[in-house]
Amino acid sequence: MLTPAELVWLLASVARGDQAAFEALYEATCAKLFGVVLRIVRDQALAEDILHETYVKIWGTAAQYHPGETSPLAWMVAIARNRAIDVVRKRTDLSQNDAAAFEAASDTPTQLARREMTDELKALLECVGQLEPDRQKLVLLAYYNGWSREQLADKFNTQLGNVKTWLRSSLLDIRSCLGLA
Amino acid sequence: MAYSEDHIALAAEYALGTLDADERALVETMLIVDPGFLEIVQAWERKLAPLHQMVSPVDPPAALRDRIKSAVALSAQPAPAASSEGGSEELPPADAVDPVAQEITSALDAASPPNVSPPSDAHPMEQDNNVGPAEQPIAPVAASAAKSSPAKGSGIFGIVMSAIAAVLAGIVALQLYRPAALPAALRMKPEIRTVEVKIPPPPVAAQWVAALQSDARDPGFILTVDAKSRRYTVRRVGPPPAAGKSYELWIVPSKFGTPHSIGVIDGEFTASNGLSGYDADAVNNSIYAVTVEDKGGSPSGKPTAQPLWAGKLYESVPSK
Repeated sequence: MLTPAELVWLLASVARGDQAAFEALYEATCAKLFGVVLRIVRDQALAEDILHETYVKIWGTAAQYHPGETSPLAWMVAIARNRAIDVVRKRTDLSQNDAAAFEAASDTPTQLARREMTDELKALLECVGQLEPDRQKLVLLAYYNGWSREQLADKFNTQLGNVKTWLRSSLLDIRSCLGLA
Repeated sequence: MAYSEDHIALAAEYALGTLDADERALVETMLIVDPGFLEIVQAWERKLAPLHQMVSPVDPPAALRDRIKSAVALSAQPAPAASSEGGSEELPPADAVDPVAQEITSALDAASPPNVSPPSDAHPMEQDNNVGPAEQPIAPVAASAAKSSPAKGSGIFGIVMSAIAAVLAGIVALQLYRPAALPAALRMKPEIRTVEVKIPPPPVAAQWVAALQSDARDPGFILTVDAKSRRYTVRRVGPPPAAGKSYELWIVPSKFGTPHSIGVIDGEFTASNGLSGYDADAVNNSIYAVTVEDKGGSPSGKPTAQPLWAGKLYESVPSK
């Protein structure tokens, strides 16, 4: 894995239209982005299409990346996640059951030693960890699986209204814990 | 502008991904017209982003790389590489290549493929990245992962790590997606969005605005019509038209459904009297659409392409 500084350098080159840099960026990041997208859409072909769109967008908008604001990988993951979630929200025909197979395949938590985690991740996990266990799961399922409120309500066997309330209070708790404006 | 907790929660849920399609479209409309709200959403995306570090990489098929490469190469061709150096960059002598670039590239070559190999102690079933049999007993994986987690026993940290392990291991039965019970007001057709845009004072006459959007993803155009003079202005939010192409604005009266051109809108800001021949009823009840035509607009007076952006007018400053 390249360091964030190397990725910043590559993104800057991509912003100038450097195709070799784009290839290097793709090689260094595609497996992470594909892992993120596949978890959410649970469909190999669809995940490939989304990855395609994501990298075309990265190619087109690399100049909009500001190194001071966020890590390059985080920026790219946000693009991929947003696209994946847009697609699954619109594709009500996607059978999530079919894709249950993916659960077994691609999903083991990366064994990140605590010292390998970035400070940002540690801070976020400390804050998530202060939520009640059910709320922790709610937030994490939403992030990792891209589940909607309805899917979360089914999973937690509760009313949609409760999920809305829980999400709202959990996110606002995380916000004050992180000291966000 | 101060944002309420409702705004902040909406931004957070957008970043987290829990909103449904209509609500996401709504937020994406707000992102276009409200830079302050965009900042809040981006702040949330940044705060949540570190969670991705826990997701295992999965190798996409090699063919995909070629597909993406050629798509990018294609899009790179018409743009004459706005390189700062200028001049002959096409065939640089080997020693002209940036040494850092070479270093990184060779590092990549040496270590390729990067970050895709599963841990050597991976369970056999994890090695199949594509399709695993459904209903695999995966709980043991979660358990062992949680057990072997270095964060074990470190209080809150340990708890949240186990929660992550459980979530990532997917021990949860998947449910079919069910459409939300949304207020009727939000149940608009996805391709046509109406949005209120605040027009700066002073209100002289009634003002009507429409945000012309595609699937609420691409920034499009913001159309403002002065009710009295029927003069319209269009602000282009998205990119300029491609070389040799023009954006053309059409009015589609709901009664007839035949689009009539009301002007070419290539500039970032276009003002025109193109609506002066239409009565108030037609102006207010029509759909406005934008197509991509050949430079200068469709010669036949009829659109030659499907509209990529569309919207309806909304009264933003009522008449007195």
